[in-house]
Amino acid sequence: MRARYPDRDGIVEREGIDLYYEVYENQGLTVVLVPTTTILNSRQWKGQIPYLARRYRVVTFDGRGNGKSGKPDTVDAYRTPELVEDIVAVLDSTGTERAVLVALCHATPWILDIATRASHRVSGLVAIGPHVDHIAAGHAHWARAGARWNETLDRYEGWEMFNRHFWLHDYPTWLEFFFSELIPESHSTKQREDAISWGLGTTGPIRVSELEARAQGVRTPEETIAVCQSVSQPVLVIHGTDDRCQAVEKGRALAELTGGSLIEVEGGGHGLPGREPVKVNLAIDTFVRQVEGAPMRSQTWTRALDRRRKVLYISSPIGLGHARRDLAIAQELRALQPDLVIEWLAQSPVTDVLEHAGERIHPASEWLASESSHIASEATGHELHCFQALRSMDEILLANFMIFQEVVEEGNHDLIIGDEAWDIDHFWHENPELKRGSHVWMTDFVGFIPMPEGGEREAYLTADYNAEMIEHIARFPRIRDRAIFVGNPDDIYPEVFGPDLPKIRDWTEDHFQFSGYITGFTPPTPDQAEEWRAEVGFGEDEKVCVVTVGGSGVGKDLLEKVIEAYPMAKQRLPELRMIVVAGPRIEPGSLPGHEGLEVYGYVDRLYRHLSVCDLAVVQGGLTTTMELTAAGRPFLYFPLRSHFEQNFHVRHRLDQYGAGRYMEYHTTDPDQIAEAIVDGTGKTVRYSPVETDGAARAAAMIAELV
Amino acid sequence: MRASLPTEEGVVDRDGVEIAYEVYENDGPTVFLLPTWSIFHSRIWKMQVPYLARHFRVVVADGRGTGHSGRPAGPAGYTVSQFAEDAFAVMDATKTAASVFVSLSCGALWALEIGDRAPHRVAGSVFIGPAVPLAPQLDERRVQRCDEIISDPQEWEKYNVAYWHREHLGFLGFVVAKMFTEPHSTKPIEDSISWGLDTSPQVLTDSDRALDTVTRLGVGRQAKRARYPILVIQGDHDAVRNPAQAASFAELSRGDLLKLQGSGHAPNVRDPVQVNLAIKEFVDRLAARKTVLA
Amino acid sequence: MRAREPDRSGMVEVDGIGIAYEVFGDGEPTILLLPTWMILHSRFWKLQVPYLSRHFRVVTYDPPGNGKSERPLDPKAHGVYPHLRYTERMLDQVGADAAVLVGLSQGGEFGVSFAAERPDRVLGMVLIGPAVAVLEKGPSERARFIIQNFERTHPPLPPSGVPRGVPDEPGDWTKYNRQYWLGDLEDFAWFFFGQALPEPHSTKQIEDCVGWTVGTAGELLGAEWDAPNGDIAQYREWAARVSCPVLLIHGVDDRIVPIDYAEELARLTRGRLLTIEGAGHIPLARDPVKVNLAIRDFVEVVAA
Repeated sequence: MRARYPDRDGIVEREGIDLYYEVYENQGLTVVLVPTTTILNSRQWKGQIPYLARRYRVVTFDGRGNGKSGKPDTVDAYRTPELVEDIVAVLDSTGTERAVLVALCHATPWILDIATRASHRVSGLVAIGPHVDHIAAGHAHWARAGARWNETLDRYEGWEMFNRHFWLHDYPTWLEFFFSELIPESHSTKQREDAISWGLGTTGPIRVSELEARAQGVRTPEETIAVCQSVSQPVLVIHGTDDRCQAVEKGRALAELTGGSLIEVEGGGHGLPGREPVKVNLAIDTFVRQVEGAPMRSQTWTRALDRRRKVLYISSPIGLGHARRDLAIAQELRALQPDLVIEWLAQSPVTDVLEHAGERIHPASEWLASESSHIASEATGHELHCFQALRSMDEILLANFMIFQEVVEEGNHDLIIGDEAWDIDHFWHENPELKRGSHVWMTDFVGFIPMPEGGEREAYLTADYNAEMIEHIARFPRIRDRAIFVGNPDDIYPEVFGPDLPKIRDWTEDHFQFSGYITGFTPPTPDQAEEWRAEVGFGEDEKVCVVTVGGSGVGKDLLEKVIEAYPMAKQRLPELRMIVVAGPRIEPGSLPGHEGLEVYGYVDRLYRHLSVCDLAVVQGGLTTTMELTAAGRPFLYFPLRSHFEQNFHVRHRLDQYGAGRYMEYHTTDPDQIAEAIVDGTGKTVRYSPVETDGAARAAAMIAELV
Repeated sequence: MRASLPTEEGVVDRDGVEIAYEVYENDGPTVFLLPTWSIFHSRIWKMQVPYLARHFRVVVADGRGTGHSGRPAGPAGYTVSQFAEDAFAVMDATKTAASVFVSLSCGALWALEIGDRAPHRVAGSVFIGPAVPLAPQLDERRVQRCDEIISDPQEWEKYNVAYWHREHLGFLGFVVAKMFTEPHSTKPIEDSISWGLDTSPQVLTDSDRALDTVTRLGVGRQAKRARYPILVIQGDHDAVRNPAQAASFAELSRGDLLKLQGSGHAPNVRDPVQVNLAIKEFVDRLAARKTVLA
Repeated sequence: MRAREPDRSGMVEVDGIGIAYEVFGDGEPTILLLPTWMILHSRFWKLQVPYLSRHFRVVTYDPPGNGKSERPLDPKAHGVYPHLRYTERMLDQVGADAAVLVGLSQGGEFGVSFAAERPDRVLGMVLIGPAVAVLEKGPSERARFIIQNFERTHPPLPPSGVPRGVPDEPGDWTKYNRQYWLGDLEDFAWFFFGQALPEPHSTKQIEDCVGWTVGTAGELLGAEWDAPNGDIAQYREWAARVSCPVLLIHGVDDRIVPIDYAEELARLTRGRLLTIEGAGHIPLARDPVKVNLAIRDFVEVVAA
């Protein structure tokens, strides 16, 4: 049984002599494994065929005088031109226009011949243990025995068996001797047995004819060297240093004359394809791949002053809040630098907002792993362990960083703006040599704060994370060219980063610039508010309560609890109209209904409804609560349990503005919610004003860098 | 003062014409910076030599008709074949078995000829703004009538033998400005004109006429036959050679193409950092391949 | 949630043991991310898979004893010899003629032996913190201690301080002990990965590894200890026979396998050694960017 059978085989007849060939079909380049004189046949390549056939189209054949090919016995039948024409005939009849030719020993001159006379048909040559006359001294035993080729001796010892008379009466004994010399490596019994069995595929008389034909057609040294030198194709020579058939000096000379590369196999004999098949296979494969050549690759570089200013903007995809503020900053930036090209590396749902605004989304955005899905998957009910969710996002952050890095390696961006792009900031500090362009880091909170329920372990972890960030920035101040805090110093949570660590406020004031808050919209004036109310369909006598959890899928529990409170509130406040906005990630039909209660999926420009409502009931996210603060509307907010940002940072900031009524979801029942709704609806509030120039201020800080 | 000095300077005699060369010895593969059209000598590579010589063994030669090399009379002294033989002679004299070649403009013709004659001596070849007739001339150059007498030649009409003899400096000023279309190129322009003045109108004439036999078919065949790794570097603001020539050359030769947006005909002078890094990367890649093979 | 879900996953049976594998991406060539000591399972490659699978085809599998693979208590199912079969079978299963192998720690043994025995199936190999026994002296002092200590009975040992950020003492290597593993494998894991990840701020990485340890059990690790393994002469012989290009990545502060091992392995395999200053035993978790880029550069040259 063979490791691999040919896909087709056949016979080509040349002047009355059949030549048996095999074809192993494959795409691409053809490798022709040429048999070596009549002593062997195509099976000599059995170690190469299965391997090479997996990669290339492979053709091999039995030379005349052995195997399944015809076996003429005249001297004329074995003249070199006939043997060369046999190879060409096999190329023709197998439809092989061009190939890499591989030969062992005496087949080398034949393939050199084709390579120079029909060079268009040969893309490369591999010669193993090449037998080329004249180019270097051969072994003395050949010369000695050759001199007595025609003599009858009393006894034939060793190389003396290389003798016409001996071959005619005891050819098998020569084979045994010959292959024990040619395959000298220890543990080569199988290889020798194989070779002898192939050698027995011919006869003594045939081999004598072949030898005598060869002796007549020898080229002069000058001719041989000229042929070698005129080979224009790539050449690989493989030669064992213990080759007793062909001295290794011949291989070296051939490589030198043809400009080929040479692999010497230390201690290797003449039968390398059988004895060192792995090395030979890998070498042939590497060589053929080089010969094949890779297709053209094209690359473009643009002169520096011919480039447009280019920004890569990374908008954090966790929640939709950043999208609007980032768009506002981008617009202000364009006002300052009209020729700016801004590309966005972002993911759903932020990309929906950006596309709607006609922004240019970088195509690599598609490859990003979803951060918002991860966050949603970490939430249970009205609870999100935000710090742990960020920690367990390490894999996604890295995956996305690697994509980002490829984008900036290729993109020649002048400036990278990362709005809470944790991955970029963290991994650039960890791998500072990878930084490209200027880098702006933006955030609306600084410092991980442990939740009390997290105990000693979480206190240790948050402090450790904070310490790493502080060390990063102390050691590599060049990574953040600007750090912008979206807010004011008073908004900073009045705590320390952890034991033996600085106060968050002191450190942040030292390391950040402050843009003030960025709402991304201008709240209506009292006159406008009247108009907006009319536009969104709020009646004059109605008291409208809008309930929303923003774009996140987390928050269904809150909606349900508020809906449960609706009948009680409606009873106590008959003019109450409640509008529940489920958002893109919660199916409105999955929420309970009540007579008079309105439930919507998506509402266009929801901020307008919020700006003119009489009460809002929301989660503790910064964006929505600050929109309500800026618009001066009363609202109840329910931070997600275990969410350190909503429970500490956002709450502290809202307290600075005196805005909103903090409610705890888990300890508040629907009745209490109803009471709070009745109590809060239509209430006049006095919040500290929220600045409206935040986006412009941030843009001015950024524009200095580009 | 130069940024780096050669470790060896020499002259090789080729049938009575001396070819001057410099070697910057180093370990690693040899990079041969070939001559270009005999309008400039080897200082055209001044931005490459110091950098490349820190990483590779570098050989440069003054083309015949320029620098310290001889100035044979008549077009027969300036054929493609002569330049290829010069390169072989320099390689033999410097014991360079094989080399990575870097050529500029007309140097492409010599590099291709070298590859054709002795592929085993070519480890790889970088072609910058190759002057290969594989796409039509630039439209602006159609007005060229090299051998007529034109009284007041404008633009490319200045590519004219009579004008060269009459107004050598005028021609240099014109053609060098075409080479450097990039803004703020005063220094490269000054340099190139001063190098141009080192040769003569007669050398320009002979070396231009010697190229009359270069054909699209012949060069195309050579490109297709090339089996060594190739990198083509081409500026899209090249006002001397149609950039499409480089593109079709890269395709025929299956070479890599590095397009330089905003660059002119000699980015090795005007955008040397990009060109140096590209050459370095190319040679490193060749070297890496050999390691894998060994 | 994962950054990258597998395109294909399945179980393959080798010697009657079900082995779970996953395939990501469809680029060329195939990269086989080898298992390591079964105290971890294939998720330890989580920071490599998303990146590498965008460029190459990536295959991972769980070692018998952890992850989604079966949990044989027979020592003969463990150690380097059966892993030769697992590796080959995995390449067959995904139809890869040859692949680039990437291994961590004990994965180095699986890689070196396989590359020596099946050279035609290995295009190249990256070994990170390779725990391949190629040295006799010096560094093996700990190995000797471990061998002597493994079957002893100890009085109760104090719990690891690593969860609280308090480093353990080197003396706590006494926890490398069959009885201790049977009693409190998780505490051993805190100790062990505290040693393996000595870089500051490695809390998440240590936690991950301890979490993956929960997938195996003291009995299984004990069976693995009892498995036949190659000796130093065998590993040196294998290493010298490796013919593919090799990249070794080793942390200078590796407290599990001293860098001398990687240096010796580099000499024997004629490989290239990338040392990372300040890094411990698992830089693929702690310096993933550097490691990912190094793997990609290597694979691209090998596959060029």
